[in-house]
Amino acid sequence: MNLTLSGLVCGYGRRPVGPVGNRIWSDAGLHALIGANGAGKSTLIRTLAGLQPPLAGTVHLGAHDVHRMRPAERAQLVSFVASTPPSASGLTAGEVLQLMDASDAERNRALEQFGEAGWWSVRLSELSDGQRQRVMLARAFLQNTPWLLLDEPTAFLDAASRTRLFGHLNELAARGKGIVITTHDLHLLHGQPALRSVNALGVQWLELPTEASISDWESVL
Amino acid sequence: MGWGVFAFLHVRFGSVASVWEQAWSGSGEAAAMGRTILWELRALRVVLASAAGAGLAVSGLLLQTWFHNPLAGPSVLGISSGATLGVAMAILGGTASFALFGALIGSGVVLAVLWMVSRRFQSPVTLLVFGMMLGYVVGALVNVLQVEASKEALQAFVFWGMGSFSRAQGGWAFGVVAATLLGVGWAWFRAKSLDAWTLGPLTASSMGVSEGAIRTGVVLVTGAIASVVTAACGPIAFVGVATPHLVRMAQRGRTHRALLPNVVAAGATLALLADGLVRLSGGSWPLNAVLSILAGPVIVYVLLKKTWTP
Repeated sequence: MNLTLSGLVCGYGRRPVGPVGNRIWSDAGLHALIGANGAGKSTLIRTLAGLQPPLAGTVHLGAHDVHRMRPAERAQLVSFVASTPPSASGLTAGEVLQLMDASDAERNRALEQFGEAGWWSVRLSELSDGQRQRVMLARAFLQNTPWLLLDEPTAFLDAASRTRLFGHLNELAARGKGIVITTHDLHLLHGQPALRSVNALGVQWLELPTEASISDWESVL
Repeated sequence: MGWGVFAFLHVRFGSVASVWEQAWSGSGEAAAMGRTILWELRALRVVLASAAGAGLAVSGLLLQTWFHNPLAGPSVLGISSGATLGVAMAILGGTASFALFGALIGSGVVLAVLWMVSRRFQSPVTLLVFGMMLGYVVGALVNVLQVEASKEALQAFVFWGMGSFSRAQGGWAFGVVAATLLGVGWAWFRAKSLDAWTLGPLTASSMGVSEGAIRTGVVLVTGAIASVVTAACGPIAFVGVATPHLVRMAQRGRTHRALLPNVVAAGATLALLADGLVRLSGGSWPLNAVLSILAGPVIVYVLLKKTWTP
């Protein structure tokens, strides 16, 4: 299922903050959005996820316009992890995962993969930001959608968890999933086998060669 | 269980001392009279107080979840103030029979305003100030109305404002029961979406929760409960905002299916306990004074506590 952007303009109110453009991303791979603070990465990824209306243009998942679908239908095609994990929820990690359609065995496995099995009965409010974010990643994984959109998923994670997360993303890509992430973590991004495109947001929206060096990527930011 | 004890005490004891014995063992006119007092006065009052308490408590839970805010509740948000203004216009205008209509319109207007500005209430303080300001504005409008009102209408309005569960006959008790059942049923039906909502609007929406459906439901349900309860019992203070916190202190489960039954039970019990104290005083203590004394400290505790989770 392709993710197709046609004449897309993102932003709030009448003020475009994001890039303008056409793109077709085929599935089965990792697409990175990089850019300086305020370049519009979060705005763009929320718009791609159908959570924010575009100022112009469309976003299609396969044949479906993500902004014209019911939330329940959209949730079958695309999952999303916000840049800041929820801090005020009293639900336990287990209760969060139980909101997803899956078996308890699958839920436990997801929690072990992305976090730790022992968090099952710990409240989100009792976990750290990084731990919460890992629970939210497990939740999005359980949504089992063709596309996963992750807004700075590594921001709160420790070094080991970042490496582990990219390991999972490569695995998911190998199984045919499309993944979009926003990140500042160029070193970690570089050389990931699943990496299909690196998109630098700024005054212009540039697609950079995935095999270019990190300093080449940095030079356009 | 606490509710059962209070409900029994309510029906068992009252200002006419020997009613209980007469109703069960006696025969003839005295027994018939006893049964009338037991069922149509005392039991119906228990029904009204319980349903009102439960309904306001469920409203409080829904509003706290929707606003991500521990201080949300029908009275704090000014929904009760809106209903009060509607009732004031009806009673002080000399058309007391339109009180329910007035309450519906008044709370509806406030809810519409809340609906439009709801996304801005990220901090508890903003919400509190909004509710307080709305209360002042309504108070001022009511003051103006009072100057123009007749003496009898004024007296009726002042009594109404103190809050009371004594007006249970004439279908009021059943109206409140209906609104409360609607609220509980909707919340149970939408429990998973409400759980997801505690993870934030973006995440909930990405999980397939329709923000519009939740917002419409919360507004309609809390509006219906607040207006019917306010028309029947007066502006009832603090039950809505305090009860969910009492339940959260007592249990670990935070899913809406885990919270709902206990919020219903605790709201009903708190209202009955307060009404019991009112009846012990011979009906002379205002219900809202008793409720404020009982529930006020809970709010202060919640404010002083460092972390809060919905």
